[in-house]
Order: sequence, then C-alpha cells, then structure tokens
Amino acid sequence: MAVTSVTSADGNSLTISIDGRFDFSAHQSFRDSYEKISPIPGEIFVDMKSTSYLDSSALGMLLLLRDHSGGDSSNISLRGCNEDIRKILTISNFEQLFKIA
Amino acid sequence: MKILIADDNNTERLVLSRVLESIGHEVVQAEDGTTAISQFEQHAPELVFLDVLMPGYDGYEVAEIIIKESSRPWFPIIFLTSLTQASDLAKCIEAGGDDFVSKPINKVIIRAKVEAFERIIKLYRTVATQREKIQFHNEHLVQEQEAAKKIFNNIAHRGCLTSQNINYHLSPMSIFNGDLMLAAELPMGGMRLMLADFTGHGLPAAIGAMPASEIFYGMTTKGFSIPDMMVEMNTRLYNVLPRGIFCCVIVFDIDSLDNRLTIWNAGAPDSYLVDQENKTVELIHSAHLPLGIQSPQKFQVKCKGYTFSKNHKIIAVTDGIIEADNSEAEMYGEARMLECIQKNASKKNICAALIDELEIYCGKAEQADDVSLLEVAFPSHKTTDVPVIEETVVKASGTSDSVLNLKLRGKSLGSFDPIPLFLQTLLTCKELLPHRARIFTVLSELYNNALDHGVLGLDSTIKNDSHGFAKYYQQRFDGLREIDVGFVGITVDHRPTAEGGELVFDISDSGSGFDVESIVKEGSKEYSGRGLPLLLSLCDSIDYLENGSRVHAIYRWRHDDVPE
Repeated sequence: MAVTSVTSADGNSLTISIDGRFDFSAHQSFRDSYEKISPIPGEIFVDMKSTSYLDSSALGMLLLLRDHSGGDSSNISLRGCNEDIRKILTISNFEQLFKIA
Repeated sequence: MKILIADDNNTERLVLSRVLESIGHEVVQAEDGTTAISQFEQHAPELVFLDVLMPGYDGYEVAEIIIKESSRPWFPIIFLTSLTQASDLAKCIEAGGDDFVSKPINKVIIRAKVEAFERIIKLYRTVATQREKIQFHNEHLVQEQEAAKKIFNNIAHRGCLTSQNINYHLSPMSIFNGDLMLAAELPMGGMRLMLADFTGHGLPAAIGAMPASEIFYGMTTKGFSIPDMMVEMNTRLYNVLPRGIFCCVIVFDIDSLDNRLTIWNAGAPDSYLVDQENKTVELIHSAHLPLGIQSPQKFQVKCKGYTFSKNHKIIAVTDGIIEADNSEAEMYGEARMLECIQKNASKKNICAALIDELEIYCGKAEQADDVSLLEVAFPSHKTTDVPVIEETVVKASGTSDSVLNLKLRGKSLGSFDPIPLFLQTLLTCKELLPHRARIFTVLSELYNNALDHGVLGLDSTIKNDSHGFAKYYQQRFDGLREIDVGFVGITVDHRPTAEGGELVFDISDSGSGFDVESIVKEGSKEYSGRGLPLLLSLCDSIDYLENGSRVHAIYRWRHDDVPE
C-alpha cells in the first residue's frame, strides 16, 4: 500500500493515488497526502486504478477528505475504480457525495 | 551494583574483587559452590561470577540451581574458566551462563564486560517496569470495559429478538460489537427490526450504538413510522459521530395485520426476501447513504414495500459475512451467499445453514469483521408476552374524560404523523394500556383511509397483487411529497361510562367521498383494501357520513378488560 499525491502545475487540482489495499493501514499516509497542502486545490482526483480493495474505514477516510475540502461544496472525483470498488461505493450510495468516473 | 564472586582460588577471587571494588561495586565472596548458593540467596546480587571448577557444586551446577530456584528477575551469570576447549566454553552458555572470561583475568576486559552487563540490566529493568505498567493499565481497561459493556447491554438490549419467528447470529470481534441488532413489537401488531453496522469496532461503535438503540425502542413503542424514526436517528448520529464514522443500517417493519413488509436499506449489503413456497429470492438493495453522513436538512427516507405472508422470510446481513476470507484470502462474496440461500430457501433455519457453510468456507482463516445475520419469518399475532403493567390502576385517570381535536392541512399532511401524538395522549389513561395495540390500529386505519383514499384519492384495489403494492406506495410517497391542499380532521372523544369508557373517533377529510353502499358491502375488493373487516372486528360501530368523507367509530372498553 502506498499513497502518493501530486498537485497540478497551476495549483488548481490535486491527484491522490492509492496503490494496493485501501484500508485502515493507509490512514496516516492518506491524511498526509492532502492535509499538508495549503490552500487545498478546488478540484481533487482520487486515482484508484492501482487500488485492489477498499473497506469501510476507507469510505470514512474519503468522507474526511470531503469534509476537509469543503464538505457539500467540495469537488472530488474517484477515478479508475474496479468492479469490486465500484460495488462498495454503490452500496453506500457514495455517488451522491463523489463523482465516480 | 552488588556482585557475587564464587571461586575456590583465593588469589584470583581477591584480584577480581579489587578490580570490581575499584570501579565502585559491592562484592560478596564465596569459596565453593555450596557457599555460592547460600550467598546468592542471602545477598541477592545483580551479577554473578562463577568459577567453572569448584569443590562441592561446580559452576555449571550452581548456575542451574540458582536460575531454577530464584524468583528474581533476570540476573547475568559470567563464568570464569581456564578451560580453552570450544566445547567447554559452549557448555557455560548451555548451563544458563550469559558470558565467560578466561583466566587469568584481564582487568580491562573485566571492566568492559561489567559495564556492558550493567547497561543490559538497566535496559531489562526499564522493560520490566514498563511491562508491569502496561499490564496494570490493561487490567484496569478490561475491568472498565466490562462494566461499560454491562451498561451498553442494558441500553442496546435485544428486545424481542428471542421470538420464535427469528433466527440470528452475532459474533462479536471485540468486547463491544460494531454490529447492533434490535427488535421490538409494533403497537399495532407485528415487529420492527434493525440491523446496524458502525464503522470500526470497540468503543467508538458502542458509543454510537447507544443513542441509536434508545431512539429505536423509544420511538417504536410510541408508534412512530420508520421514516420519522430514521430522521431522528440520523440527526442524532450526524451530530454525535465524528466525520469518517458512520452507520450502515437495514430497518424493517413486518405488519402482521396487513401482510406487509416495509423496509429501508441504507448502505448495507442486499437483503434477501425469500418466498419459501415458490423458492424464489428477491434482493433488496441499499438505496441511501449510511446514517451520520448526510445533514438533517438533506436527509430523506423512502421505504420499499413488499407483500409478506407466512410463506416469506427476510434475511438481512452486514458486510462481515460477505467479506469473510478463506485461507486463500478470497472473500465469501454475494454470489455464494445468494446460492446458499436459494439452496436452503425452504428450510426453517436458513441462518444456521449459512453459518455452517461459512465456517466450512473460512476454515481456519481468522475472522476479520463482525459477522451478523438476521432471519425473520412472519410473526404470530402474539409474538411474546405482553408486558404486565404492575402499577395499580387508578380509575378514571389521565385523559379518561377529554376531547382531542387536531386538523392537519396542506403540507402538514405530508410531513407530520399525528398517530403517535394521539396514542401517547390517550395512554395517559393507564386503563387503556391493555388496548394500546387495538386503539393504534383503529386510529391508524381510519386516519390512513382518510389520507390515502380521501385526500390523495388513491385506489386501494391497486394493492391486490404484489407489484401493485410497490406502485401503491410509490403513488402515496409522491402524493405526500407534493401535497399542499386538503385536510384531515381528527377528533377523539373519550368519555367514562358505568362499565369503563368509550372512545368516539370522528375523522373527516377533504376528499370527494365514495360510494358507501357498494364498498361497505362485504366481499368487494375496496372493502378489504380499506381494512374494513379489521375495523369492524375491533370497533363497536362504524358509520360513514357525508357521502363517505367522514367516519364515525366507537370503541368501548371495560374496567375488567385483560390484556389482549
């Protein structure tokens, strides 16, 4: 599991990539990937094309990111979700809170 | 540091003593094995030097004896030896020694070794102290948790979960379970059940579970609907839970009078509606975000309705069972789960069959999440004993001589449920407690007829097949959301009589009424759709007035009535 984050050249967007299992073990590194960036860019992409699995604590972490980047006015896209991850997001109806691409 | 030196050679013992004393240590001497053992017991040295060859017990034997018999924490033993064979030196360590020095001794090496062992002893002591502290804290924590668990179990009790129509499985991973399973009887007959899964385990989950449980039992007995209850629960959890912790929930009512299942799944895996006669399984998907995420302003509950009879079972699960791994870290998954349910669809205890299969599947793999399973069949009318009211009945108490009057107009019809309010007020008359279920039924049937067929103009014949059921409730939901005209007036006149009392219900609505004569005729579809047989069996009289837009019903009770 590795979390990396890249801010775009113009500073308008942040891409966070999660490699491997996205679960409680990623807690600290996931928070570090956005909490240290100030101001937080208006558009955030969570890239999950290399993410194998996501559990309910990961859903909690996504909610924390959402809260940190403005709650209801946040703009977060979850990209590259595999079938299993998409299913977990759908069960929880997270498409109401995030753009799922 | 106190050091024991055991050596039968006086000169060598003395030289070593001087060296150690010169760097500030206290020395105890012994000139043979037996004395070494008694000196060890008497002085409790922190470091021991043993000559290998001594009269009486030799060094190896002394080491074994003092290690075996001492209850003291670890102390290093250093052998003194003139032997040079590798096997002899190895034997020093085998006998329990920690190091050896060759004789004749070299002062520089002795000082260095003692210094090194002093450091190790200090480290060892620090670890031992910390371990004691941790152990103490841990015991304390376990005690506290056990006390907290008792409180928790009293609040989040299982209600009527032991009823005969319910099979369930709950496996707590830690002292507090992240899963919550609650069951209560509905005042109008039937049951309400809830299965909730908080993110995380232990204390955070338990703390969130407490308000959820209180709201569940409090509002269910007062007759609140699922949407009203879930709005309250979400509001509380939204305010209480930190972001990132939330609660997936399945809640459902089984209405045993109306053969209806009303269910709401928010973030939990599919529930399974099993038809045991036709052996079919219908999936009920999650249709909402879990509780504690959405702000109260945006939160909306839309239940699904299904026909539910004696042939049906409803199975609800949390994600623990679906995510259970086998030894190859492969999840049990929804496909296997569905297959197992289909295979066992006609069994009396599908829950047990699922758990058996899961155990075989997982083998020795460790359980990573709570596994909770709830299976509910149609409840009999008397599910469990009606709680006995022990307080002495005060005659003519509370609202036994009163008139309650409420008129709901326009938008209020869509946003307020008046039944709990009426029920609570009426039940301040303690003598009505045995009649709670009947009064609830009469009141809610009359009110819902006025609202559904009167104000909203819904046709009850739609409900005659299972697809129609869903359609009917969709129409009702849409109607109530958009409503801004019309009214329902409710008057309940409670008067004392010589034998007890009578409740006179007068319900009127803004609808255009209906053809009273053809509908009240027994056997018409509208007749059963409006719950008329039920109302007639409960009330002493029912009269339709003003072309059916007003109904007058009388319910009489007697002082000597016993609980139903």
